[in-house]
Order: sequence, then C-alpha cells, then structure tokens
Amino acid sequence: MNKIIWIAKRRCFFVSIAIFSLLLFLPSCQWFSSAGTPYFTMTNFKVPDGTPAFKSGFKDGCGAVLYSRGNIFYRSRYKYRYDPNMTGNSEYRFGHSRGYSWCFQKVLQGPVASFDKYLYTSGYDKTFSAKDINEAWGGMFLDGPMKYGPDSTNKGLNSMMSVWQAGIDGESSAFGSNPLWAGGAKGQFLGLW
Amino acid sequence: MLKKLFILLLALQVSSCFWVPNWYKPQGYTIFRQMPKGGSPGFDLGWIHGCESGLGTQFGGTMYMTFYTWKKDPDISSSAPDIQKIKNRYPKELKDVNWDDPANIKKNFDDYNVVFWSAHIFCRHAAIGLLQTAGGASSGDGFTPPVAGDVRYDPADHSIGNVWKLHGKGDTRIGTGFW
Repeated sequence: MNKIIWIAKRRCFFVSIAIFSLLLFLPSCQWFSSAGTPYFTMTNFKVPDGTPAFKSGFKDGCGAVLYSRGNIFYRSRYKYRYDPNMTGNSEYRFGHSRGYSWCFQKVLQGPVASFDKYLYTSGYDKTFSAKDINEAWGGMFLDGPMKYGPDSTNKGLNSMMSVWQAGIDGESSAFGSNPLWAGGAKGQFLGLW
Repeated sequence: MLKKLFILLLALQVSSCFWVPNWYKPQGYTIFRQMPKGGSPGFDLGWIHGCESGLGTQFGGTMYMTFYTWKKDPDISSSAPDIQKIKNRYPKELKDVNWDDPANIKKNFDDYNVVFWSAHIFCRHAAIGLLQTAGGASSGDGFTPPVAGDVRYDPADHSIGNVWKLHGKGDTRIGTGFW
C-alpha cells in the first residue's frame, strides 16, 4: 500500500514538474513571434525596418559598439562584425554605420530613456513637465518672478508673451500668434515639443 | 616531469596567440582576434591598419600610444596608386592579390579604404571603453586618459586592479544600469 502511495506521489511530483516546465516554456514562445524583429540581448535596441542588407549592416554595427563601449558583460555577448563580402554594398555599409552611431548614442545615454534627458547636464529632473512650462518646477514661472506680470489677466510666462503678442494696449500685436505656444498644438513650447 | 609538462602546456598556450596580430600589446589579443574572417588581403590589411591607428589615438592615452601608431597607407588611399610600390611594400600581407588583374587590385584597395575607418572607430572606442571601467567617464578620471595638457598624469591614482573594480563605469550589478 505504501509503495502504491509512494509511486503515486512520485508520479504527481514529475507531472507537476512537467506542467511547471511547460508553463515556463510557453511564454518563451514569444521569441518565435518576434524572430523577425530581433532585439539585441539585454537591451531594448531593435533592428529597424529596411532591406535585408541594411538590417544586416545595422545589426553588425550595433553589435560592434555594444562591445566597444559596453562593459565586461556586454563584451562577453558581442564582438566586432563586418561582412567582408558586403564591402561593395552601399546599403550594408550605411546600415553598419547607422547601427554603430545610433547604438553609440543610446549606450552613452544610459538606461534611462527620455527625450529631454540632454536638457539637464546634471541629470534628469523628474519635476519638469514639458506639457506646460508654467507648471514646470513646481510652478516656478506661475508663482515665481512672473506672478505679477504686466498683463493682469495672464500669469506666468503667458503674461510676458501676451505683451509681445498684444502690446501694452492689448491690441497692437507684434506677432501673428503667441510665440510661446507657437505650433498650434496645445502644450507645444516654442513650436518644438 | 611536471615541470616539463608545465613548460609544454605554457608553450602551447602562448603559441596559440601567435596568429593574432599584436597579441602581446595592450588589448591586442582581445581586439585583433575580432578581425572578420574571410576578407580579401586588402580588407585584412585595412582592418589591422585601422585598428592600430585607432588604438594609437588619445582615446587610449599614453600607454596605448606607446604601442600603437598611425598606420594608414597613403599610397593605397591615393586616387592614383603606385601599384608596384604597394606590391613591394606588402609582400607578405598582399601576396594573395592578383596583381595582373586590375579589378582584383581595385577590389582589395577599396576594401582597405572601406574597412579602415570602421576598424579605427571600433578599436579606439574599445580602448577607452575598457579604460572607463576603471572610474568615471570624465577626462583624467580613473584610467580615462586626460585630454592632452589638461591634467598631469599621476601614477598614484592608478592601479591595475582598478579595471576590475565594481563601481566604475560598466557596473554590471543589477540595479545600476548595466553600463
């Protein structure tokens, strides 16, 4: 009797292991679906769309800089690659050059991806919001030096800009539109963001 | 017996490096063994020259510049190359070039010029990339070479063990950014 129980327990154990392994394996199947858009290991770098020659070059170029500017870990994963048979292929050469330079910038940028990272030489300021400059840095412009601007109705940077836009008398505009929020889209600062 | 075996193993081990150019120089073995295989003689020569030139820049600092220097062949890069001169200069490196075939000569010279700068950029980055692991990424910090005339070299700041210290650029511990 004890032996039967022992066999049943053992079978149950191995079935559990098999199911657990299957559960681990199935999510990894996503690798198959993304096989056409490979990511570089331990990065969020992705080979962009393009011709096979371009993609091949991009992959080789990016892998090279992951070695040269990466740490020991990345050096164990990557190495310099350049297909000697493709030296005459301009698409491959362009891809290699672009892959190297793009990934180089990404490597220098570090793991925190932010489009405005380079605005701050001393590091990324999380209190800044590019949506509305008046609300940035805890409302520095709105409640700071710009609080009592020449325009009694608009506060913050808007007050300064509205003078430029509408003049002291409120009518003689120097600009066709508000230069601060130029660009038409709400929250677009200086037409850039 | 053991001594002989040790010497034999050592000899075999060391001799396995010989096929790599500059294997005895700083990062020589680890970098030059990455030269792509299957290239034309011009490709191989261009890669080696490009890499040596890159390692001989300020990216690697005084130590690398002691071992490497500028190597780009002005004749191969010329728009009107002196074929005979080049042939005589590289009897070993370019021995497989078909000097009777202008197309083959052009292919080799083109390969030389195409891969030179790619190897130059890669190798100079590989030099400073390793040096930066010894400290910050700023000039003169840790092993990162100073800009010429910026600061004076201070041997007291340097230790060979710094290359492997954990808190420099390239800290691989989880949560530190992996770079």
